Amino acid sequence: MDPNIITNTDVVQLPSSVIVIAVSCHGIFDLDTPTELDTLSKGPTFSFIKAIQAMNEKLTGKTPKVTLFDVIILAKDLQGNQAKIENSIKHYGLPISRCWFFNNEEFTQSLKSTNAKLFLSMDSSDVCKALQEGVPAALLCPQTQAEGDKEQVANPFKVLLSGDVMGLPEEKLSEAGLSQPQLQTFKAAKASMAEFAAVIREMRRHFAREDSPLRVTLMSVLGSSKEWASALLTARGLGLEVDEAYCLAGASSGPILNCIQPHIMCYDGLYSVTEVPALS
Amino acid sequence: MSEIKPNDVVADSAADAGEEKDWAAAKAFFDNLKTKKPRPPKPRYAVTIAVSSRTLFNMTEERKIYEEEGLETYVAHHIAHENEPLRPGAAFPFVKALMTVNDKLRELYPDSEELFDIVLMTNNHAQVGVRLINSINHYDLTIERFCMTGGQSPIGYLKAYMTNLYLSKNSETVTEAIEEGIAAATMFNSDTQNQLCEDQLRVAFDGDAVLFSDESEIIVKKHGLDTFFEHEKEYENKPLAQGPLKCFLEALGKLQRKFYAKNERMNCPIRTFLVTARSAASSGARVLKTLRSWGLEIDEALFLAGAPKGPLLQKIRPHIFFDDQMFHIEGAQELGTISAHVPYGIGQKYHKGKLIEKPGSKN
Repeated sequence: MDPNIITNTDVVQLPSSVIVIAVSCHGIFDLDTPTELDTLSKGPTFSFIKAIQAMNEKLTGKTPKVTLFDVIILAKDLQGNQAKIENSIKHYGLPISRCWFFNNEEFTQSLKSTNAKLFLSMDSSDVCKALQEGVPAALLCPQTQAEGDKEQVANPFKVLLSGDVMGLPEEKLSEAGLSQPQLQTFKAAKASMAEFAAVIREMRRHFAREDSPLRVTLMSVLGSSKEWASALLTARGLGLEVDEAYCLAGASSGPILNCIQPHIMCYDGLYSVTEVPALS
Repeated sequence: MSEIKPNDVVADSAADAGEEKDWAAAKAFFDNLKTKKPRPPKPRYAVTIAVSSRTLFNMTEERKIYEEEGLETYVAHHIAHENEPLRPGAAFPFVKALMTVNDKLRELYPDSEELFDIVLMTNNHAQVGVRLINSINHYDLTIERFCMTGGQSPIGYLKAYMTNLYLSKNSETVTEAIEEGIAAATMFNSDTQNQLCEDQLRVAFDGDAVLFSDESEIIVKKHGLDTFFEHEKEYENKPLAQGPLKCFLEALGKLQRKFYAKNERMNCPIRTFLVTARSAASSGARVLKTLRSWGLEIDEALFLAGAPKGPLLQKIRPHIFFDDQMFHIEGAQELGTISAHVPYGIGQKYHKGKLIEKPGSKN
């Protein structure tokens, strides 16, 4: 057994048929503030794990023995903190089955060996790397902690898809004056779109259209209404139930993102926001 | 920063830089599209009009399905009829007139971003989007920006789009928008409609509690007309406070001045009207002086001294008429004028001069 993979014995290990979601450790816990304690304090994306837990529990309540996904944590360059991270996971009772520790150079290899169907991180460069390797990946959006943070997640969990990736033909993009890195990210996002959609579809299909704890949002920043309509039809073709849809056609994405407040966001290289806006 | 935008748009350099990047990419993309459709203007400089799906199109039957049979059946119905265009709604002629003005502005100022920008702002479900776009294309409307919130309140998005005017069928959302400082009005479908002008956008406003605050309206309701006349004469030179639609009139004025600058005053495709129950002699001066103090012009001011507004509006034929009192709205609609109710001020608690016994919406 690889010494760098820590199994959380508090959590039932799920069969390999369940979807694996790999989440970056950075952000779940506060790794920047030095502490003498055995456990770390919560980070800006901690509530994401809680939201997944709430969704899994809601689902298990309806149909026992069905678990939506298996959440594992990827911890890059954190070997020194192994004990603290392990303790923190148990301390907060997080539904994380395994924790993988590795060096930065091993990132893509480690990611692939997890067989994760989805990789989530706050770091856009890691998300890009994952996409380049063909692993569907999305940005985790930091959330501000509510006062007296309860176990219940009152707000629906929001996934933001890129209408541009779904509706824009690639040829049109190179004419739009985007940089090479942006174009590469876009292409990578487009390539893994179907798989990404499959994961979201798997999540969404368990819930009805109204009052769903998971909401799928489609936003297109660049394309006109024609491409947006095309994106809606593409989503439908992929079997995805879209709840909200926005076509910006060049309007600034920042204020709109602040209204949507997504938890995870498909990164297509087109947004000008280098830092994802936090919930206010 | 454009003066057309509502006051609470805060300038923030990081956000501005982001906005510029988004805008530059979108502009380049559109310019390369090789389409006849005009590029949507930069929101910061445009006069943004947000219309709901039910005001742009007549969706009464579909609404009935939603209310009687639920969301699933409603969405399925739309998907099944996706290629059938919806019928035009109350705001449709207004939107068409906005497009006409845009065409003329583009002729005179080909590089300007100071145009009308029409956004479809609806809490309708995203699945209905395809049918909405098909309908929009069927009528050749220029709407490129969409906000389908899937059941959530659109208020935050109205602000995010720097909206200058919001039209909806839902009076609660409209009231909320007004409380947030956004000019808004509730529209109604009417059976009859007058023939409207095709080359000129004509907008009619009531005065008190629409362009101006309801301070004088309060005096009438509480102390009667005589006190009101005395008060207005005494305070003739003190400008009234502004009402919820003042900023929209201001935005229209800015665009009008662009035509005047090119010697097009006589052919200006925007014309504004004040239609007020005030009488010219006793209480009219204060209104005109207030407008002057704001640096605003209104093309025609009609003082009715209490006479019904319906017949006069029938002659004016505006694309939209804003009033705060439902009985004026009803009177106007009976004679074929497209009307929009501004749920603001003390007028909401009264009907035809009498206090409504139960507080609540008069619809």
